[in-house]
Amino acid sequence: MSLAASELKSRIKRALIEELDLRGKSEQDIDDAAPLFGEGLGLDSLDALQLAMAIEERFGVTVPEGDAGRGVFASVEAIAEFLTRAGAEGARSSEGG
Amino acid sequence: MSVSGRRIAVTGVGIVSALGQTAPATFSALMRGERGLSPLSLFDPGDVRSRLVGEVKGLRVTDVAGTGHELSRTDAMAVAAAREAVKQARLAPGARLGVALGGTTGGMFETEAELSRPDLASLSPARAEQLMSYPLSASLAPVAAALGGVVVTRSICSACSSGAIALVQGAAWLERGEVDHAIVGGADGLCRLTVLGFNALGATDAEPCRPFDRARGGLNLGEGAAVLVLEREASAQARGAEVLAWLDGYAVGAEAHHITHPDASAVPAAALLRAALARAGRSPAELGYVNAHGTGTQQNDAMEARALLDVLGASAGSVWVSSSKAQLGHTLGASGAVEAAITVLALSQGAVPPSVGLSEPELAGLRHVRAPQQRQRLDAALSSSFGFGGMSCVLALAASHTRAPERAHRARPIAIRAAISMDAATEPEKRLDPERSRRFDRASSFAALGAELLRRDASTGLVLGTAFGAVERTMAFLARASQRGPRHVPPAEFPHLVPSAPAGNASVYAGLTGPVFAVSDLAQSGEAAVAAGADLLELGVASRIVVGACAPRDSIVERVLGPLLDPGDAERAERGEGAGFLLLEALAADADRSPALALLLGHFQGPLEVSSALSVLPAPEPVAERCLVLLGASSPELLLSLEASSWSRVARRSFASAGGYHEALGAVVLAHGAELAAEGRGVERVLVLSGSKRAFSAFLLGPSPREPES
Repeated sequence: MSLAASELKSRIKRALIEELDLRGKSEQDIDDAAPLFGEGLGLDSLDALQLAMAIEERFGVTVPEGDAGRGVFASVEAIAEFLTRAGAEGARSSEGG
Repeated sequence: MSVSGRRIAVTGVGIVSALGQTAPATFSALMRGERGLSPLSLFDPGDVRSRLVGEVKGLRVTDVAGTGHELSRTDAMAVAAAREAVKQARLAPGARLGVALGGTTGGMFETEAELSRPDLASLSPARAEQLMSYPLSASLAPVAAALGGVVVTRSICSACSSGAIALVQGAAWLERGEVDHAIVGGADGLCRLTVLGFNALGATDAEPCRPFDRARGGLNLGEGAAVLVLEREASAQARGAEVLAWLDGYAVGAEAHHITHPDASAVPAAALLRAALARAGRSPAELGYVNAHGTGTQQNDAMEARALLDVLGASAGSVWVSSSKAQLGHTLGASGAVEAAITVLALSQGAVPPSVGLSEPELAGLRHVRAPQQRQRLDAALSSSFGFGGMSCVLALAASHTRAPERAHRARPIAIRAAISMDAATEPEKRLDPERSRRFDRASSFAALGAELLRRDASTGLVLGTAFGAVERTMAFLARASQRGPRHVPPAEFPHLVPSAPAGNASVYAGLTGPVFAVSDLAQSGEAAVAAGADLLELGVASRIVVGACAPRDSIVERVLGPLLDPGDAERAERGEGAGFLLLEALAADADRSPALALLLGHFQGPLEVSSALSVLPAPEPVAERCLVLLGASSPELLLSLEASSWSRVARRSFASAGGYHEALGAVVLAHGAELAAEGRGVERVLVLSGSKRAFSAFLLGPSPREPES
């Protein structure tokens, strides 16, 4: 895995922890491939809305609404793939600039 | 016990809505199938998915003498609806009135710009006056001033079931004989907070909404108010008042499931519908109509249709079902009252309003009202409200021609089973499960911990006092929206900004499925919560309820709203953090002997003079040495009235400057009083008093029944 890819996933995990108030969780607790919703981290659709807004803010992309957007948040890996495809602003700080 | 003469009559109705500013105007437009939806004109919300709302246009905002400030739109709608309802009921002069109003945003529209300004210190007197309308309880004073004769008030928030629970509070006052007429309802004006919040949740439909339709796309927001006049059958008969309908049953409960999502199994909703029918003594076969919550969202309507099919069973094909929200928009805290009023009019006129926009129902089996139905013979109806946080209420109404249902109600003594006080050192967050308390603020954490420590079983309820709600958090949300635009406000934040959020969070966290809601009366909010919980227990809608209040730090409340709005309770304005909770329980009639701290022998909370309140709670004669007065305030009005009462020679202790907990102090002092009255300490009566010129409270405690000798 390239340094850039691992840095991207790390930023995604920080976004998850900060935006979804995952108290007591660290980056190491979140598996790259584990499902975020339902089982896994146990997030719900309210978290999905919050995450969509946060990803848009932090990475300067537009997340598709509705069914089209659902696959984007399947896992940390899926979010990283989406961001790479969307040409996210890799240089932006995690605080959203 | 016979219920003859005790049945609760509806003798007046007032409605202000997007379809008209009177009940007849609104109902006839509903029956013509008109929609009151139009593009939002009150303010520019920015880039939102839907601007289609049910806005009340040309609202006449009139001042009411005695309130000292211009009314907010919410308050103006409440006053207009109350005046209409009272005019129809033709109340006798001198009657004792109680006013209970539900809502969620109060004067938010008029104050949100001011309060989200970064520099709040430089408030001009005119600006400060405008802020008087901010709290949820602000509507009570102008309505009371407009009506006269008001002896007790209550401001209720349970998100979208607030207006319905206000009717239950009114029924409780009538059951207690505390008032001659209960003036009950709800009011909620449109504001940026709700438009931006529901937009962030993706809950709004850009098209006119279609409740129960397979292709529904969400809700349209609305605004409005409705007020009903309730009184005893005997009172209506004695004064020859026309009975529009009967309020025979009610059920209040929570799902303990999620802060925004309803329980898709529909099991809690079905149980609540059944409980309201049971309380009314009716079977589904006697129902003619259900005015459903029917918001137009995917989740609510799927859940509600399933619950109705389950409860109506074989009668589903013969009971009309419709939602008025396609025509009025979702009026949030007002909707429970607006829809109760519509249900009363449907019963009294034999006319069923439609579900406009419904073309293909998602679930087969319900008798949806596709077009307005005139000349229907309706005996009984339900009006249901399922709010955020699973806080719900179902009302059972019956047509005036129906006979009284068979039901037995007996008032039961109320015990204080347990009590607990907390302060900042408690650090409630550290004692909660981190995953299940994500996003909890201090208020929610206090409430969740109190609920978990005091709950006995899942049927326990929670009534939580809150003076202002989460002002700082709300203003941060709005500031972010104005700085970055509607797409950048945090969706998960919005459900935590309604004043009932800490109650809802605590209910989900601790698994409480009894009545769950918030009450608001500035520094008296904690006392109001205890009184409201006791009222509901006496009414028999629950067996045990945790009551109390928590006061978190909030810089806007501390610097601006508290000192401005409650100068009479100035000693409470110096805030620390704290919380106090009591577990109240209605004892079984066969003298429950399980351990309790004390009995709650009498209670009063409201704008009545304290001397009147004390006259119904006399000190035992001769005044026993083993009596005690606990003071939660030190206002001159309180002390003078105490001097003039039968309690003047009883020993006192003052807690007025002890806690500094603001709205939580009342519950903290009561918790202390209950400990003092606990069996074996030799104290026979404890009177807990607090209040100022604006509102008073009095609670009389005595020792609990002793364990039988064995």
